[in-house]
Amino acid sequence: MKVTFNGLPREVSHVAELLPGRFFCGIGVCFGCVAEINGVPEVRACRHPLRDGDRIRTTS
Amino acid sequence: MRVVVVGAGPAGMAAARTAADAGAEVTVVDSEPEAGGQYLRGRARLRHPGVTHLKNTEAWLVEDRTLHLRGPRQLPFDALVIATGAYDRPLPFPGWDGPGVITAGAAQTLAKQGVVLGRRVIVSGTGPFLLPVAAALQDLGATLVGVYEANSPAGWLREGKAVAANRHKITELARYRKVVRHLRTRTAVIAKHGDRVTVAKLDDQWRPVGHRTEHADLVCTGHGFLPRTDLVPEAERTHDFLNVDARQRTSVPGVYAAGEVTGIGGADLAEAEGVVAGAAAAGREPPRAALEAVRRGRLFAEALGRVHAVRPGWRTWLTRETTVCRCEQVQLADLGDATTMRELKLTSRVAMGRCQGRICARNAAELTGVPFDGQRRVVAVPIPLGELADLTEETS
Repeated sequence: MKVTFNGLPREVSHVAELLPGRFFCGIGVCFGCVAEINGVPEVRACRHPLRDGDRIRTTS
Repeated sequence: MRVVVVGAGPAGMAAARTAADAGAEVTVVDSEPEAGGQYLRGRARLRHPGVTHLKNTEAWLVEDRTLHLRGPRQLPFDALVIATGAYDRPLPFPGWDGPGVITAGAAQTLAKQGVVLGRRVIVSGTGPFLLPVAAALQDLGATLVGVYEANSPAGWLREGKAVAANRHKITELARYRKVVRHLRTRTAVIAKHGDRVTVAKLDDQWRPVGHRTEHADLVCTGHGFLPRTDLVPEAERTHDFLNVDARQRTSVPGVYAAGEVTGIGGADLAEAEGVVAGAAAAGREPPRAALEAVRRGRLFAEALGRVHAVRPGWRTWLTRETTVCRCEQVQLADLGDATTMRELKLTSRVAMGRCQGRICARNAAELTGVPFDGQRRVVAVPIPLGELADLTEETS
């Protein structure tokens, strides 16, 4: 998937690859992977099925 | 009869089908996009006459005979079945909050989507669940550096009754023989710095008695499971698992529980409990076969709890600087000498972050000796204030 992560283009097969040290429980319990996705704040990234063109932001 | 089931894993699906077949009007609420729960993720169908399945829907409060959903939306019920499952309990060690450490459940979830986050992987924790995780990672081409079981499987030799009643479980384990050659018992990852992983040999209380260094870029860790009991904070429980009677009734009137929220015993026990809960919730006598399967399964679950219990020596794996609470970056040294969970939270901020203590509260309690008061939250999932404000306007 071709996505934008903190403003930079990245190609990944899973959102977990973008969030080392933060993606942890994988099932929406730990909230470690919370990010802004496509303008929506506070999304648990592990619960978001990643698509081409997604914009993920962990810094403001 | 309106039966609402929360959770669409093996227990919830069985409860829903059984209650619908008994004539109830059934609604299943599940936070995932598809039925199946963590175990059958993406490999289950829940299409059944009399069952409405609300996908991608989070429930956040039970108020008398009403279930509150995100949206906001309310579902009135005559009987409620809690089938929300469990998640991995990770124990902290130096480096567990850095890159390259995830829970065994996360590794399994990713593997079901064809993804491995490392090339050289270690699976470390306790319980038979480590084996399918290791097998899934190996199947996807990862190099298995080791599978570390902190307990000794010799404990099963004292569990003849449970084993005899559950021979199919032993057959299941045979499926994982290709990873068993990587299995080391009384062994655990006790630190990770970059790809240098400290692997310790443990005594029977999990105190390290010697260690060596391995190289791995991914450690998958899980020391048993914690139940998701948020919706019924006042229900009676044992070690945080919900107490139920022979009809799967909790101590809360009209509320039943099935599956791993009542104890860890595998998908077959969860499904049997779901059948019993679904029948009882719809006002029927549960089928004898399901009651018998629950009885046998509980023998296994109790034995599993004894053989693969967390032993207190893990507390020596941490240094003063080791993170205990990932959300609020609370270190062991910050925990102080509180005497209650409330005091511990207020003085150290442990368990006060986004996860509301789901990952760290139990560990923090054991590290300090403070009595663990269970996972009791008024609101089960974080809700934007705007949504609560809308709700107030509607109902006042």
